[in-house]
Amino acid sequence: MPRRYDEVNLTMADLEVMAEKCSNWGKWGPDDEIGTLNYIGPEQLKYAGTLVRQGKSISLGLDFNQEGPQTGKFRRFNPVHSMLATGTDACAGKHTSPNIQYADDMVTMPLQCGTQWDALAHIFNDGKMWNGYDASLVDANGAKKNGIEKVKSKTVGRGVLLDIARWAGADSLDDGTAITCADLDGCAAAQGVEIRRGDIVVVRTGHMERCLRNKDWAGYSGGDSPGMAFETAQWAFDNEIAAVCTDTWGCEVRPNEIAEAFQPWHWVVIPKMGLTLGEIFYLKDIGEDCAADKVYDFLFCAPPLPITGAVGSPINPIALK
Amino acid sequence: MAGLLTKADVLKKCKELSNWGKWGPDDELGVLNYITPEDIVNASKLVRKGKVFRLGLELGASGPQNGLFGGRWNPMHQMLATGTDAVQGLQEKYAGMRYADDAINLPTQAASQWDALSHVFVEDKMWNGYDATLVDVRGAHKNSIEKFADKMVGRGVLLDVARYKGVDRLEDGYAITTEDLEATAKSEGIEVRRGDFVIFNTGQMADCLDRGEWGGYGGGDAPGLAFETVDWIHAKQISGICSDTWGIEVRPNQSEPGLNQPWHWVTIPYIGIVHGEIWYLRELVADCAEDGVYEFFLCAPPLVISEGTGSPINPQAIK
Repeated sequence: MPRRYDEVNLTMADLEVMAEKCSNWGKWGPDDEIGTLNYIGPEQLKYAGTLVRQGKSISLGLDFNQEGPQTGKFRRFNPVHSMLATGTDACAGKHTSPNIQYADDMVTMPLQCGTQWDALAHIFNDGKMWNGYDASLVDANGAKKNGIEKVKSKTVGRGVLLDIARWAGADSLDDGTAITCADLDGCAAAQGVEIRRGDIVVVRTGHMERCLRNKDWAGYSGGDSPGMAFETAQWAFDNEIAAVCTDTWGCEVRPNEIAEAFQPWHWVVIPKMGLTLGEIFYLKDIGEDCAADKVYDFLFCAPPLPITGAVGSPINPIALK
Repeated sequence: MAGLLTKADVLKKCKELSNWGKWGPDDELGVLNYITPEDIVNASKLVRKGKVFRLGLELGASGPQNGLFGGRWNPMHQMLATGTDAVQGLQEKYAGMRYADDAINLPTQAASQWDALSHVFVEDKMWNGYDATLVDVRGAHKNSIEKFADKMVGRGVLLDVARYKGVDRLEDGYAITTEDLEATAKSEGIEVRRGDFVIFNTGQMADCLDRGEWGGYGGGDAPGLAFETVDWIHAKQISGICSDTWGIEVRPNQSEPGLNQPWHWVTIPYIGIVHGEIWYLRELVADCAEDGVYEFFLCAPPLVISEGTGSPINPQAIK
């Protein structure tokens, strides 16, 4: 069962050791910019296609609106949706463009304000990002390397839900609860699902549902949270998974297990391992569906917007069963 | 065509092809209702070689918008945190880690996109008879894009009309007829079925990209569907119509002055069909020509923008 974040004593030295053990730099050549998404090949895709058996489509995207989880922390705000043309104007004869009645709109949003992918250009470790590229390649004009557009056709494959909250018998794991390697394996075994190379592993903690139920995001964005224990970097590395997604703000447990580093697991998995992270996923519906039919794997399709040089993208991930 | 379409012609066709009420008075999905679970299972069997094609044009400052219609602009991408700041040690004091972050500002229909069924009105009404005034400055209170959150999945079919016609691109002003669509499908050995997402290629976008010049792409002249194809779309009971052009229908329009995008008047508000526009088809077109397989699994989820009238997308065709 999951443990508390403070039941281990980890230091910056542990971070350095893990970063080296889990490094994939150079594994797919010096020019690679997609990291562990390389594990998804034609065979993985073909197999994922066979998982569509009931013709059921489930969205894992939280609605993008002003009721989102952002508070301004990290300069992130909730999406601002504004109209460029409205039906009210059209009916009043005030057409924005002549001779057709229509509505149109725009949105301003931080790319990581809601359900999203981190690009591999999102986190640096010791001045470097994924595959050894210099962090300074991400300047005010965007990411010259490891931008989100590099994975525009790569985030499709076999998805596996590990419903840790349900497995642990909780509606939601408590903040500060660290999900360990043993938890991931134990949950997979209990669900009767095998983790394979190239999987997109979706971990449900119940955190978002707790906030939605309470109608209060509280510390969801950047505050305390259940999440992946630092040690699970090794699990992701050893299992050769392609991506990890959670229903939390930042995947890993908070408070963090290494006091000196903000989000230490991130320091390892993004810049060193090249792992793509999906965050702020809405997992209520998929959780209930999998609990009902006991099928925990599916065709997963979550295309990023191919924004040139971006370090993340809002998404609406789809699970097909 | 004998003469230009009048408003009366267009309104007559709207009434003739109306699907209002077909799925009940509360429906907000339109012809997406045609897609059954069995259709989705069958579509998944089209994943045969394990290859994914992105159909989303890259979103950036060099996009196709140039102010020809509705004051739309190309996406503005701004950084909230950068690597240059990080390596100079300027982030620790406020973040405790070294990272990059960013934001975007864009019209929902700036590039590859879905139109929601609240996008176009005729005589103050939208799909299924809802009042156009239900789309106010706060957004669309009916027929908004989030209703499609889990719906944009099914069988995709590519009709490469340019290839069928033996050209790299169809000329601006070329009106693709029903006969062209049928003949293209026949030449590809493909049958268009109920519930399909039909994607047709004119070659216009690829030509613009090759020339490095969008010209009148975003609202000017273009090849596209003839007005008459509304009958085909209605009769075939397809669930989506998509292309590599800005607005799917031929421009200049086949209508009298003062009647803009007449095909849209029928398709969105009356038939209740979603449009996928500004799709990037180049690699898919090449692959289909090579292996002769013009059908695939299509997954094109919109961003779940509450009360939105459209969404930027990156559709995935999986073969």
